[in-house]
Amino acid sequence: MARKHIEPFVDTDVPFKKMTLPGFKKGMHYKMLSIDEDTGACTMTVKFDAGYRMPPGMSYTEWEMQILSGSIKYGDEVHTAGYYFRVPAGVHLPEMHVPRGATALLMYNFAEPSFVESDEDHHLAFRDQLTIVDSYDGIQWMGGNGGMIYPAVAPGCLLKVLKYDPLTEALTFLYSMTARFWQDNISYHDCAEEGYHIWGNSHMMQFGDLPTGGYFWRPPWINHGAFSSELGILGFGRTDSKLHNYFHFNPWTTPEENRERAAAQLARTKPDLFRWAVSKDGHNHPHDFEHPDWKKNSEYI
Amino acid sequence: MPNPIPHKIPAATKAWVKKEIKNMRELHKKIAKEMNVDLAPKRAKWYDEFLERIQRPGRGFNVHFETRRVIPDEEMPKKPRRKDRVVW
Repeated sequence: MARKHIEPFVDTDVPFKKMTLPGFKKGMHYKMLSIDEDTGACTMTVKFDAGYRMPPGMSYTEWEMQILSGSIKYGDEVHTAGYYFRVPAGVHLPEMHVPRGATALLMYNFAEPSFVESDEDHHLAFRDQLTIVDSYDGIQWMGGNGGMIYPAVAPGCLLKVLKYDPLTEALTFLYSMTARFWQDNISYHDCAEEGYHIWGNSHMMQFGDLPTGGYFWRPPWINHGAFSSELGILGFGRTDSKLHNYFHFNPWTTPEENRERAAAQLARTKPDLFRWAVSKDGHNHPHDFEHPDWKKNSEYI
Repeated sequence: MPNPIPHKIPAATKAWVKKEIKNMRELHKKIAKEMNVDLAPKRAKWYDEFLERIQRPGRGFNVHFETRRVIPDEEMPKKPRRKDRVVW
């Protein structure tokens, strides 16, 4: 995913723009938070005017949405703030109606935004991967990254996993820092990471304060932290592959140095795989017997 | 996790994407200056405070979850001569 390093950007600093893309009805407004230069995949905050309607339809690419305020109806189902949607490419949803207005975080994954009127799924759609969940009341918080991520963040940083991709281990999640949270280390990851503050203010040693409406898209191996939050935060986050916390305490390292350190760790923890992967004789084209078409079927890699 | 469904992209959509990419490049340039240049003096102070905390008895460096350790002098990093950069 080729997106610029956008960190920090506060969307309350800029006005909404009218959405004019083909297929989208009048009454939708957006703020662009980040966009992939290769594919047009993007993350936006969006506002739907009171009375906004869209007919039944689908997108040619997967999209995710987190409702931030107001409520959105799909057919007869009402979805309030906190509802999370993951809608695979080609899966149609019934008529959309926003009776009193709403705002949301809207992400089109792997391609530019699109909407096609349809009252049935595309024949290539994966409907079994459709997720619609109340992320506030329907899921409870996990501490210490829920034991999923080692080494883990400090106590007081909590997680709710909304999407887990089994092939790439990419995640979508809600995260929270309790009041007076602090974590004195510097972190980086092998994955790109994206975050949006639904509410609250936190501080990162490199970038200063990130308030409500604060956003970042951070490419791999970029230092972030130490972290703190005076009154706590509620955030929405995503990664494009496995999230591993590389912690250290040298504030002046570069992404290249961090990547080399990550590779050194791989050499220590999976030495045989590392030796095979760095081979220069051309044999190292990974073939996954379980998922032989993983490259063709993945836009993450 | 399938690819997007093959489709034809309307010209209006292509133009919209192109414009948004241009805007994003300008935004990135602005953020890079704000972070790498304007915020640098404050950040140098934050680095100093962090490096003090990880050596302070009872505080220390967060290794994993609630495990912390105080970093001894001989492990402390040295500031390189190159300019510090945080947005890439």
